[in-house]
Amino acid sequence: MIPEWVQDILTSKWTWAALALVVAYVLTLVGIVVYTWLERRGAAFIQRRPGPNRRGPYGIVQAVADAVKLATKEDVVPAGANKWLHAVAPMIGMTVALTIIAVIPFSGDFELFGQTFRLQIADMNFGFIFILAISSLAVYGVALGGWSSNNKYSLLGSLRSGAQMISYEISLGLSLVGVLLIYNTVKLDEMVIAQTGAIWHWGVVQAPMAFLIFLTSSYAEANRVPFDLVEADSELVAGFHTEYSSLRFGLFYMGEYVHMAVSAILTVILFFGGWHIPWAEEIFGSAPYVTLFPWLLFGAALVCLVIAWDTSRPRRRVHTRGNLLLAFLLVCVAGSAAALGGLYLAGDVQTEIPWLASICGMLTQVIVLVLKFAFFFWLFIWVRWTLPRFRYDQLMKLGWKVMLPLALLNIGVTGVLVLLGVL
Amino acid sequence: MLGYEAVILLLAIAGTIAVVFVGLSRFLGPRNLNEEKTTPYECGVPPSGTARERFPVRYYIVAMLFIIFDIEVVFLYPWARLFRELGMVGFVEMILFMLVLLVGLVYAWRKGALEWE
Repeated sequence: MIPEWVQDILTSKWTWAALALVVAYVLTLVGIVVYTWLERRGAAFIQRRPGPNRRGPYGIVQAVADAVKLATKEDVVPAGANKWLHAVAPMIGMTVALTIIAVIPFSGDFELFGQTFRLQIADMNFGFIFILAISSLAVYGVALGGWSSNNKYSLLGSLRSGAQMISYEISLGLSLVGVLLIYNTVKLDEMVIAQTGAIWHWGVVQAPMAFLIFLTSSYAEANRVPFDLVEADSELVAGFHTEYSSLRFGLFYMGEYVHMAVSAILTVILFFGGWHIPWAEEIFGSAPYVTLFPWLLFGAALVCLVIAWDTSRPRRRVHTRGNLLLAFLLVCVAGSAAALGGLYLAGDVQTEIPWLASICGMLTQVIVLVLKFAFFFWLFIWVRWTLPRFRYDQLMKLGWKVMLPLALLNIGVTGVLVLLGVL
Repeated sequence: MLGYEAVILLLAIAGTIAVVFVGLSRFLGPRNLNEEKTTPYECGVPPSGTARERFPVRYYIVAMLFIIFDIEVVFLYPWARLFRELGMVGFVEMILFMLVLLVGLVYAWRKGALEWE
């Protein structure tokens, strides 16, 4: 029915690892363009101003322009700096954050020609421990970057960051012990499978305290507001990256966004059911994601049409050619998505071409995961432009005197509940 | 799904991206450094002394406390994984272990190691 070589490609583990790599890099590296734009538009939205809105549709090309500007700036290394460490420090954070995504599962198991695959780069039986081990290396980037710059502000920033990140890492690690107690596995995909079905199977309902501690600690680990004491622009100029310019600064900046993206994905996987829709099996039958796929296409078509309508409206009484072209392309995309969805339903793909159906089901799961991820990424931005910064003594007090005892208490309470058979 | 080799592959890709980025700015940016540009920034005035100064001992105390509690966390992971198999005995043992460490935390707390004024 289908050629041998197509079947060979489809049943190769490298194909799916490569696709997982593409999804991971789109969500982290390529996504940075969207994230920086979203950060500025989000800030503008919260502060009731327009934000970047001139270049490209909704100003999204501005992020690219910023990156190009950064790349063409002079790379200044301050006198007396440790040249090697100054160059290596920005690489560390980025490399670490990009390595963690190896163990993140982006979809559940799907079957092709009798073989089972999963959209995950590395299937390791200790994925969870791997994440903790690798992510704790990130502190070296910030600490070395500040120390090697031969600048007092940088030194202060890096000292603060070192102390802050290791303090919150303990709470982070302890909160995840509570999660382990509930799921009884260290494999991330098994954790997501444990959250199938009703919404009270989700980690956030089973371990709400662990979720709160994890979320707070991950904000502190990513050096985001309200824990951005590391930069503290009103006190330390720019903290650890005061002496960084050009793409070395760019690497620190990108590292921060990749770190946030990874934290948001982990929050979804550990606490919000990963790729699951609550009660999906009860509502949509035994293969809910395969059934849902055409409806997802119709939804995407609708979203494209709304954006096309919005971009084609005259702005300042002028139709720009670019916007009209974009609107036209979006209408084309919407049309083809709707047509594909219709074909999928009319052709009865689910029974006729089972391998295509299972790939479609997998894609649906990835998109569900990405939608949940988008919410938690937005939460990072929302919090940043809402909360003020902590004072340093308040930060350490929260970490050691509130979060740590709470995390220990959480382990005790979760343990008792598990022993009683409640969880 | 690959095995452990994927981690090395990913490390290599990520490392290459990082090195390329640091290298790129060498080629794309202008290079005319002078003494004023390379002076460490100190609000516009000439920097006084080196930045490799001594710094407060509190940071060391935090680092030491971190080592202690991080090792506790490392001990907790295998216990949490096997919790259902170990049952009541495992729970009581780990509570005792955590209590010992909690005494350490209370001691550090009372001694003022966690104060930042």
